[in-house]
Amino acid sequence: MRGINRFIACTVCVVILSSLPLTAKEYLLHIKGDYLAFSYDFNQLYGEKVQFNFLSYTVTAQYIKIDLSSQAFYASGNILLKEGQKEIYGDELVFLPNEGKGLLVNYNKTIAFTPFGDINIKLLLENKKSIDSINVHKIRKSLFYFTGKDMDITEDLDVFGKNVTLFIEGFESFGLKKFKLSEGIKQIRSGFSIDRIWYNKTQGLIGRMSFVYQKKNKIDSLTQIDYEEHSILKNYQGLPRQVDLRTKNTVQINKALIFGLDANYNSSSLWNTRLYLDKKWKDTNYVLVDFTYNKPINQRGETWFGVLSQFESKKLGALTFSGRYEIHDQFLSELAYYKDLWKNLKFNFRSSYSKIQISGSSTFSEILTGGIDLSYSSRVFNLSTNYFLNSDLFGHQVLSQPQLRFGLNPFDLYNGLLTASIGNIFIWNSMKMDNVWQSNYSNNTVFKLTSKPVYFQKGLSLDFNIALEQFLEKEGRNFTSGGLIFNLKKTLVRGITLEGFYSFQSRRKTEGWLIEGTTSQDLSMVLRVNPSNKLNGWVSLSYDPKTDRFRQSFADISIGLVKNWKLHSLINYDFLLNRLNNIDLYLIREAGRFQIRFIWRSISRQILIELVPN
Amino acid sequence: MDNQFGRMYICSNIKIEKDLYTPAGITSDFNTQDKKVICFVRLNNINKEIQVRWKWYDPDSRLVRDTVQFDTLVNTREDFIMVQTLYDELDLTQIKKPLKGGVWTVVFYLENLLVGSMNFTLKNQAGKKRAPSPERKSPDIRSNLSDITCSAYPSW
Repeated sequence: MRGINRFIACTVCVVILSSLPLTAKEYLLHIKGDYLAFSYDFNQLYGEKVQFNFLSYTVTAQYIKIDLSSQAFYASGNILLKEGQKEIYGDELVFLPNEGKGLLVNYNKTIAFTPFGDINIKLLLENKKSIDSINVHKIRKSLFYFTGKDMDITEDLDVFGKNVTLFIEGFESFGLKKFKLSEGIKQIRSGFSIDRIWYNKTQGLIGRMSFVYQKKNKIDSLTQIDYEEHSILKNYQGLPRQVDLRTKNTVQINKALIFGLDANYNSSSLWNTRLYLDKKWKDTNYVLVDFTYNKPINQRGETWFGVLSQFESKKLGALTFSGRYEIHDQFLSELAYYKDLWKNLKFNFRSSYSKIQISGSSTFSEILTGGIDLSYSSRVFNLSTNYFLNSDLFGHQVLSQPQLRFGLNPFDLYNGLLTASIGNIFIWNSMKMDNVWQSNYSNNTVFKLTSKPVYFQKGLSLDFNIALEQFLEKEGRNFTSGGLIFNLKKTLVRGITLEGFYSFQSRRKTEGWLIEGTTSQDLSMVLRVNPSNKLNGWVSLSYDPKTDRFRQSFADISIGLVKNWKLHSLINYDFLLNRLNNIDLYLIREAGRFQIRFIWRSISRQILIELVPN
Repeated sequence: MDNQFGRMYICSNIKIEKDLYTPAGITSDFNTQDKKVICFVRLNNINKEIQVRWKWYDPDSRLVRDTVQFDTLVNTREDFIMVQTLYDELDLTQIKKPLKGGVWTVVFYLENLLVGSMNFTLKNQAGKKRAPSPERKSPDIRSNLSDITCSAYPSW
């Protein structure tokens, strides 16, 4: 246990230290108290008999509760704000130290509010809700929490503690003279930071660094570098290391005009860059002009110039155009138009043309596609007609496909006990190949009938689904298929339910007088167990009545252990092969902002440890 | 860390689970046709006799109920109790009509120290007739002690 504790403690130190920003921070709040506890899991602080600074006051209170994620600060119990000789008393103080605003409340015969700064009382009290769940018990149930008597919160909402003790899963671990307790929040502030240093068995040593530069309403810049060192892994087949650099930068020239530069570089000699100018009118109309250079691995680079625009108005509809030209004579374009013609009548047109060089040759593929849709929907039915054209100008092939769809909207029978729907699609295809036109057609009709659960007695219900499909086509490969599913549910005791499924599927092909086809059946049983928050899961067993054999069995069971530890297992047994196909076991610790998962997988025979942010 | 305030809820009902009261129908939205609003509180590790107190305020910030007038001592036998649950009911039928719609407030004190406050909204629901409120035969403060109801989960 001590060994595991040390490992986890070192891990958490690396994670926390790795997030240390290299820029200096100013303290927003300095808190002293008889007992202060900070939960790394929940990013929350709790304190008793505290003293802290707010505006020019020194505040004493019985309790303090802070939720850094929602930036809610709350103190209560015998509050005294003191500045020289001036003293103000209250029962609770809700405050925003970063904005220098707050509200002191006194509960006597009436409620008396003393505001500090220009505040929105309703908003402030609303924000207070996130501290309702904070208490010392919650903090002590954290996987990692720190206790001490002196803690500071910076402007970036990082928490620093002096002479603090780290507790891991409730066990006192070790003391620290001065330590950064939290990761703060990822505010977009200028500066350089190391976001992550980590090791895992498949990727090796991983690091991520970021550089952010921001000037409000003017400049936004984010550059990230990911580094992976693989050489320390045994039997690693790929490159010894890899660097990935990504940068996104925008300069706002004025409210409606943005200049941007994006670039990506990967050490496997892959890089691309994009320069663009984005002009907006209103919210819906824009023109974007860009220049892109893309260098794939072991291939010639491509230089593209492009324009993308959209104009939309309620009266005229929406028109979108994009066109891109590459200096080696490649071309891409797209035109789309959409309009609501009438209340339930919609019109849609789209067309695209592409001329792209075929990789490794000097020839080009040229394709023109287009389509028109006209659709009408009413309360009872929906009808749509569609025309699609695909013309391969290089291969001299043309596909022309008109389509007609008709469907009855689902309608209820017997006071909603049954719901039925009918749909039909008719497609006519014409294809031109080597100057010869060929055509075919098909018609597909689908009928569906579903029922609501019918209760025979308390805890016993039955529902079913029936579907029929008739497919007809010119070549005569017609078939009729049908299927039905019955679902019987029986609640055995509270939290334990047995479900039985029976499905029957049949597909019949008719050719002249000959009828041939296949049928399949499946009988499955699922036992669902959910008697408490600590235990839930299901076990299923499937059986084929046609061949009189069991097929597969699956189980998914989750058991709550002590504190927030949970054991989860996924098991699959194959009766045909007579063996356990797979067992996955998870030991999971839910820890507020993250999860620690110990995983064992039978297929790969691997044990994995994952730290997953929530 | 003994005699700790755990959590506070506003709810419409109370149920019993594993010998403890638990809040049911947790909500912050009520209407003037509702009969009661419950403020439920969970305390932890109680090892001595402690005083609890609720204060209820209407949207005009006026005090409408204060439990200080009742005997609201918890754990008078001074056992060690791991979890103590207790609640107070605001009987809306007993409040002077018409009921004020808006944001109401309830605050909870532990040993005369404010440890939590919560708000709930009471919406005016016009059109529906309120059921006549039961007449109080005689004001009996002691009978209202049942409003402050406790359940305890001893440490053994």
